[in-house]
Amino acid sequence: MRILLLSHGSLAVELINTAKMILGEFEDVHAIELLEGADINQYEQYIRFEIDSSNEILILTDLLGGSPFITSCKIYNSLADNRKVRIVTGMNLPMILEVINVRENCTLDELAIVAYEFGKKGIVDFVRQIEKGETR
Amino acid sequence: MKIVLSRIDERLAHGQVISSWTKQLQVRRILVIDDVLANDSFMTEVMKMAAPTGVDVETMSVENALPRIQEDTSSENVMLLFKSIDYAYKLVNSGYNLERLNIGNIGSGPKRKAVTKRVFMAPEEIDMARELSNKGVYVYLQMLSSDSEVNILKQI
Repeated sequence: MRILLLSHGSLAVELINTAKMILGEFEDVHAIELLEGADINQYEQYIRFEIDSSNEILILTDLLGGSPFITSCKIYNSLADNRKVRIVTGMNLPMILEVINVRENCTLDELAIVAYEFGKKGIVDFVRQIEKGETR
Repeated sequence: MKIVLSRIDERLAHGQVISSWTKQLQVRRILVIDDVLANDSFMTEVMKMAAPTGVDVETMSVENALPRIQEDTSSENVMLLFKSIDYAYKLVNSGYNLERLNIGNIGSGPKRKAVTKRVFMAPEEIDMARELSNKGVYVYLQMLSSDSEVNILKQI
């Protein structure tokens, strides 16, 4: 199952580099950067190629409402069979590490849920958590 | 409605850029004027989902935009948003009295050349900008509200 990271600037590429620092080498996780002044139609074609060349694909994007997200949604809606695509936005490192770890044992739908849940679970306001006495 | 900003942004209602403008100008509604999007209920839903909290998004054709603007007598602050200059150009030609047109972001493309590092325009788009300027529309480049305005005539 392919994972595609989409971001403004080089965040997506660097998230892969950081994930490799923690997990070691892995394959079939790709990144596409959207740089300033980019041709938005060409950008769309790059994403389409990633989708067309994979059996199933989980797309993680950086920002709700950003062009990586909007473009992915547009492509999703245009596909004859969109069951092979899931899109989760608000990507973060905890989310990415978890989906890479579990993707071999999950369906695409399950993987999207994992991304969503672990993305949220990775966000903690430390002091508030301690004050509430909730350490887990 | 009170039009507080008319803007060309190829990437339309994308996250941070739009939320900086809507906050600054107290925008409550965004009218996306685009003949293609007006018929695309899926992408309209996506844009509503992505809009800043408290901001409504509507998509409509150029043809429907003029009566929509003229018949709304509320004092709501509204932003007009166009994907490219041709819809703004058509709206003006259909009789809308546009005073100011902000150009925020237009990406590169096969026929487009750089006007600034964030704005790329094809020769016919530049012609439209000139023609709008000649008609008295102040066409200016400004990405973020904190950037200064630059008259497009200085760059083309």
